[in-house]
Amino acid sequence: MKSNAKKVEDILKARGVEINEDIIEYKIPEAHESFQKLIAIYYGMKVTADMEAPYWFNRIWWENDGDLNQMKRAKAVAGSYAHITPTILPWEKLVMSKTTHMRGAFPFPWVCGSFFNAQAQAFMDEVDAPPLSEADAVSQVGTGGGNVTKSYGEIISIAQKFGVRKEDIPVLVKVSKYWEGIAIEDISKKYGKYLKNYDQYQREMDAVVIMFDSWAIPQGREVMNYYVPLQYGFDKIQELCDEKMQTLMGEAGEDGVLGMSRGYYYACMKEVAKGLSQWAQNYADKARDLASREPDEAFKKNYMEIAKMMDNVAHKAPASFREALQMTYLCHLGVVNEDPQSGQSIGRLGQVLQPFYEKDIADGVCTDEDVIELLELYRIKITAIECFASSGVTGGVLSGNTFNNLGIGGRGHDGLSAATPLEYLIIEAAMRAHTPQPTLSVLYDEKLPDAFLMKAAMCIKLGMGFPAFMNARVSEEFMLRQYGEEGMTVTDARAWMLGGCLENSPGSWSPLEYNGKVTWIPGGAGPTAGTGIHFTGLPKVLELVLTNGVDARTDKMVFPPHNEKIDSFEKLLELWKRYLDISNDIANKVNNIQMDIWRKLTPPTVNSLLKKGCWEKGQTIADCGALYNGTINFESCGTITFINSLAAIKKLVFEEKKYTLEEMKDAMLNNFGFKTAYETGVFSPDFREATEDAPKYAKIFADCINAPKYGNANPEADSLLKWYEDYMAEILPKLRSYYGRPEYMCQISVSTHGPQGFVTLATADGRLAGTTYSDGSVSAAAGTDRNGVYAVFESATVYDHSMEQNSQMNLKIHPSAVKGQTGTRKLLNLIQAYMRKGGFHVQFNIVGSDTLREAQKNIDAHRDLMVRVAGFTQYWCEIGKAIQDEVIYRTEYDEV
Amino acid sequence: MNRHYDCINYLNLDCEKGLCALDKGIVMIDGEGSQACPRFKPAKKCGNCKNFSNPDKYGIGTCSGYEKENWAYATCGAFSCKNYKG
Amino acid sequence: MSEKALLFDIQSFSTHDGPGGRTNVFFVGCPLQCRWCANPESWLRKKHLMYAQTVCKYEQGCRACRNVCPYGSITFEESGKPVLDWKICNKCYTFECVEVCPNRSLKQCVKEYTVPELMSTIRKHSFYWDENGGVTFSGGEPLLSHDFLANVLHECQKSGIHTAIETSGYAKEEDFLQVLTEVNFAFIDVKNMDPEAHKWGTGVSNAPILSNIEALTKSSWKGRLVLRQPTIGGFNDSKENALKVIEFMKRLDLYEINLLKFHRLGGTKWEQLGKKYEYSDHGDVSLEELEELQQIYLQNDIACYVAEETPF
Repeated sequence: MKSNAKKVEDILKARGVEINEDIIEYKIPEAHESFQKLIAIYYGMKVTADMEAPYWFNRIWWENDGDLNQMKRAKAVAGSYAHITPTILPWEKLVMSKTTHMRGAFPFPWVCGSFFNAQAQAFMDEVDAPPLSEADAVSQVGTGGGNVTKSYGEIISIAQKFGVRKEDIPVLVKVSKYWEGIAIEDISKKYGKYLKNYDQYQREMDAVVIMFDSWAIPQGREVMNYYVPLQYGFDKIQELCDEKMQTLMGEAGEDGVLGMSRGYYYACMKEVAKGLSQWAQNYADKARDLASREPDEAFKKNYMEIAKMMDNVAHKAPASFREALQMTYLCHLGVVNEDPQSGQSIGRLGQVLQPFYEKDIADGVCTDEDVIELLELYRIKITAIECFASSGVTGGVLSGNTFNNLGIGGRGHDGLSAATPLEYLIIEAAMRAHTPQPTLSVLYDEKLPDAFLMKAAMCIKLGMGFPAFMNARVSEEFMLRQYGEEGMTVTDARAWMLGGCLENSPGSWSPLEYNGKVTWIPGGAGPTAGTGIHFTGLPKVLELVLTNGVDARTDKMVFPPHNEKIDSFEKLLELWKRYLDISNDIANKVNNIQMDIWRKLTPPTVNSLLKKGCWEKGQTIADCGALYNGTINFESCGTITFINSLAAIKKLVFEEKKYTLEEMKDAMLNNFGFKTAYETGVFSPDFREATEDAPKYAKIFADCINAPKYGNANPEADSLLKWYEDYMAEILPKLRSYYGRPEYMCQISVSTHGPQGFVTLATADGRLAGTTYSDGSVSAAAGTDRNGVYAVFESATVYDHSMEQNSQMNLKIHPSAVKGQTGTRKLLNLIQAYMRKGGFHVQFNIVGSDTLREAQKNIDAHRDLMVRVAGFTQYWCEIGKAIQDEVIYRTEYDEV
Repeated sequence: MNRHYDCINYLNLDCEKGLCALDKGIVMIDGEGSQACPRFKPAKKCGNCKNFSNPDKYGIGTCSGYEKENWAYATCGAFSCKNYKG
Repeated sequence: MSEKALLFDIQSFSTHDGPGGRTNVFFVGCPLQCRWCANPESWLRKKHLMYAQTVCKYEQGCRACRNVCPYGSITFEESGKPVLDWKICNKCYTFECVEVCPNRSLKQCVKEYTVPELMSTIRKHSFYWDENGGVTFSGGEPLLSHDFLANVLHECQKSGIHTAIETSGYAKEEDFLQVLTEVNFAFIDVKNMDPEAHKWGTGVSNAPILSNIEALTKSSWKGRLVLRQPTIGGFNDSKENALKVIEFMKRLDLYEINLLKFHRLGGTKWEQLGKKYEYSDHGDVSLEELEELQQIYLQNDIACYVAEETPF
């Protein structure tokens, strides 16, 4: 083939025809053997929870009872890490995991213990049950990748995801008992109840108008900052803490409230550094232990290299790329292990580690291939990070993903392209070693080199759903809009990165001294954006307006009846705003209380070492230690379902007056004459089984389906989106977070469009009861974009994306449409056009619906198939059926 | 019967299986194939520590290895414990 | 500027019909009736109905189209599947059934555009093209609407928009040159060099096509011409045919050809129009066979591209 291409090129050259692209695509080499060995093991891994860390946390916490909360927290977290049993697999070059298990995590009864306490007896009964037959004891749990969805043999399933060994259950029950009634969940509820209308919040939660308590995932959706450990190493950090304590302990400075806390902060950070250091040291010891019994010389040598690396990581500032990468991974684990959390972004790792890479290459210590191998292995390490949260949160919200996002590109401290040579290798490693995490995000700027962008576009075409592209300029504008009042400069605005899927998060630059020079490296400078008013189902609020506040599904009152006659479209909007206000007001207060209780009782500790501002100011994240604190937000779900429903009602009821609002409501209540998904058990948006009432609603249903839809460059629908976005940008900053900062809108539904759609009646856009809402925030509702992708882009950019934290555009393109190197170029050009138009984000599923349907039927044969869901990539076999159906049903752009 | 699971050469993978550090093969914790080979040597676990006493039927007993006595459980890994006494 | 044309689709991000990402405008009406046609809905030069059985929800009990056709075209099988009387439907211009179908199973697939209307869409789309992109006129046979098209091309030139055409080349020479000399890039199909075979496969002779191509090469046109051959197994996949094409190209000093791989993706459209699809089980050509043909062209210094592997 190569020779054909050459010949074509010669003929065209002879004719003076300019050739834009090499016709032959880059043939991607296979992943390194170490990766292949480990990924094969990974594929067979069960997600596992064990009790080592919670046992030690609990023990140390109570042994220090009476001390300051932040010190108890620091000692308990650091001490628990220092007791985790290290596991090193013979092919590993990077080591460590959250727990002793490859896909391990553990429960946090001090955050939320009620479930375990309520289930204590049931759990113990399971433990006490007579042993099963030998065959049952080893029976497999069927499909679903590594999820343990059912108990079997000696293993008990928790949250339909984690397998826990029976011997750990009495320990779980015993530890949980300590926290009965005093976990974050309980105390925050206690204070929430001081609000007279607390039951309003409860009613909304029960009706799933909003769907998650902030304490469920109190950290994450923020960006790591590895500067302090990379600059100093853990021994030096402890020394510096001692020095700081000598100057600050007992000194309030000019801050009568928090000034004194600085001394305590450094005392705590010393404990944290000690714990992280010991954790690393245990791996060095384990490697030597394994080497001592290892018969094979090559494995032995590998263990000894690991021992040397971990000795250094435990004490010193890293002195090689490998040590630096290992150090960042250690810190990452240290943070994700201190609370249930997801969306802890790695940050712009290829810029942070570039100085180390550069030196190693210059010194001839390693080659690009060595670096690629480490980066491949790093992908497994990140993919293996699990989050232990309740079933609803893990499956329903997260689709089992933890969204450890890695950013590439963007602009540097000097305002120029920040893309580094190491970032090319990060993409290369992702192209060879296919794993869902870390997802890569291109922080798109016009200044990025073309070769860099083409490489990213090549990676998209592999069908893993990443890199996604995010618009750097739009994000920088948002940064200044949101964090300007906290003193953010244009330079710091450029240090942004996504915290989680696509929640842009404030950053800052730090001067890393390495290799005889100073490099300004970016890193996170704000707390979580993962808490606040989360996942408000916009269509559900509209439904409740039509039903006068009563949830027709459960027959329970959610909002106080408005008792008004809805005689104009404006009236409808007014009532929707009124209900949204009621919801926002109470949800914001309750969530503020939850997070305030969390930070007072269990202030983040490892994260408070790793966030710009904390170390400099001597304050934890809980006490506004981070440089920028206005990160708390309102999160929406079902935007386009809501907009399309408004468009249909506006046109059919108020403009054409074809139906009365009562008729529309009647059709919605009766699911347009179709069986509901609850009856049929099929939640696919395109499945409709008629009842005998169907003929009665046939006309209104067809009219609703054919009403104006967003995504077709049709102003009738698009203008409503603009109205909505402008309105939200106006009202949300009036809400104040527990940090006392204005809130803003985050528009990423993650996977909540499944469960929130589940509880919502049929909507006026023709969506049937129980089926998923539209995905994303500016993707068209599945199957409704009929004018092609340019029209979707036109519709999406009718408002200024920098008013909100993000927007989300999912596109599905058939692989044939972007075949070849010219196809890569065309794909890149399409992305660039959308970015220039002001779109914030776009990501692709380059996979045929035919492939997905086949994979749904035959899951086992597609263990490695991945799809892009919301802002993340996940194994097809590990996402729920409703979301699978939704992805299949999305409009596919191809040639035919 | 000695199990792979309790052997010093057993590397944790997940709730049902591990890896034998000597053979590099997957070994099951329970059921068929869970029995250790003659190379078995006990792993460091609280249950094997001299500071651990009086386990109940669930393996929960007392740890006197630290300044403050506390409860502990027999199957807890102790490789990383400073005060482990074999 | 009062001309109107009937279009059956305006496609965004078209990636295989000229340089860059493009907008592809599909005209209706075609003087050829190729047996393997992938766009048979483009044959009729009028608004007409299509019925897509694959998205029809009759199995789930939908009967939305019952009793709506004033001409009594729609009846139902026992299974509930709607049956259309195409003799009636092909004459329809009111399309009541389209209004009530919630599944877009019954749809009216042709829309009328004026030049300003089409230009307005093209201008909006122009934002999303890259520097190589533009608009491609396709079909059907765009040359059937040559006056309309000439106006559109003129408007495109005013705005510096890159234009391309995909044509069968089957038209009066005067109409052909009127349009072709105004585009930047042309794909012209050469479906078979043998006049008889060409007539069998497409319903018309290839003589006007070949002479039009010759006339174009002799004109002062500066655009880029790429011949195209939808390669159909058993029809035009022989070495002999390739050699004849080469001879023709050599004579006119042409040097680019794109061999397309036969696909059956348009097969369901035949059913949607109430027609039988003859090529439902034959006509396939493998990529390897295409690459063999490619070799022959390359040996003769003709740049031959297989399927989507084009340098533009």
